[in-house]
Amino acid sequence: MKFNFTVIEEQDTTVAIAVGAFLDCEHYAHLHRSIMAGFEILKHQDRKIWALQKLRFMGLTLSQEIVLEYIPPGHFRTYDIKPSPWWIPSIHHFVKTVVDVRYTPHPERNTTLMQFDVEMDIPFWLYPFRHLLRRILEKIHHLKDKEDLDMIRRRAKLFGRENNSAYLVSHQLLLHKDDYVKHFATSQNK
Amino acid sequence: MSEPGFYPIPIEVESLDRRSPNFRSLGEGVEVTVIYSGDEVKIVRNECPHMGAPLNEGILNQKENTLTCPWHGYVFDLKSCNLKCNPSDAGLVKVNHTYKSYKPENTPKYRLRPLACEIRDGKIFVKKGASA
Repeated sequence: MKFNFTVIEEQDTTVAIAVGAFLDCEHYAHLHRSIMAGFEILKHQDRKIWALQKLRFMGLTLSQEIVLEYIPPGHFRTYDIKPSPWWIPSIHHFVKTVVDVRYTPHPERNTTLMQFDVEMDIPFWLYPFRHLLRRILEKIHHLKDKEDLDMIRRRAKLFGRENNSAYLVSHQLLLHKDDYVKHFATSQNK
Repeated sequence: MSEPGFYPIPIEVESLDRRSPNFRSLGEGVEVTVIYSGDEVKIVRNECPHMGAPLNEGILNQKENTLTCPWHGYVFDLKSCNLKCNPSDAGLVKVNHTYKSYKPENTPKYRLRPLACEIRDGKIFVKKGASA
């Protein structure tokens, strides 16, 4: 049975910064250490990345493999979420989840609209718990977003609100770096 | 009144927590992290040289004498102030040569920015413009 929900938030930053922060994978297991204990890239092909995430949840560390696809300039899709190793008991054996995160410029202000769409395929016996699953996902998403926005705000204060040069410099690793540079480099900070 | 050549707000030694990084404002917009490195007091600018993270929120490892950046996990040696390691390297090695625009060989030698100080009468006076 399908269950979908969407969260839309306005973020006080530019799309270039929001997308840069999303692709800046070195921070995942550090800034977000309260929810993530590790992040490892297993395979990379075109705009798809197969990754191993170690998540902290209710005092446990749970590993899962995900496919993270980038659809430039500001769309990220996460799917094929599987426990790792595959035989570990996990909700992902029963619930198939696709998460889309889209960053688009606000039509009127110089801010960013973040749209978080979740589509779950839930068996009938778990369907009564769909709102609990939604609350858990929303809580994780809000915590991660808050930590990212705190980082973005501090960097804006130190280096300027629209300054994404730290994500463009050649020594900074970003996932899909070539696509990011293609879409978000300007003549000023190339 | 502040002494010439020093930031206006001294740091009370008694107020420092020896087990974790301490945030202090020295006046004139200067913010620092104060850390005990063994019995020595180390004062560094409160900005990670990589991306500007607040180092007072970092993790102090007194056994290893290191400070770990709270954002990207970069580990700095407190004796030399130099970057000791980037723990993300191992997990991200598969993309090191994937992107033409990513050149890890260009990575600068990141270093914490230490400030010189004098300790008198239970107070730490931090010198302006002087690195330790």
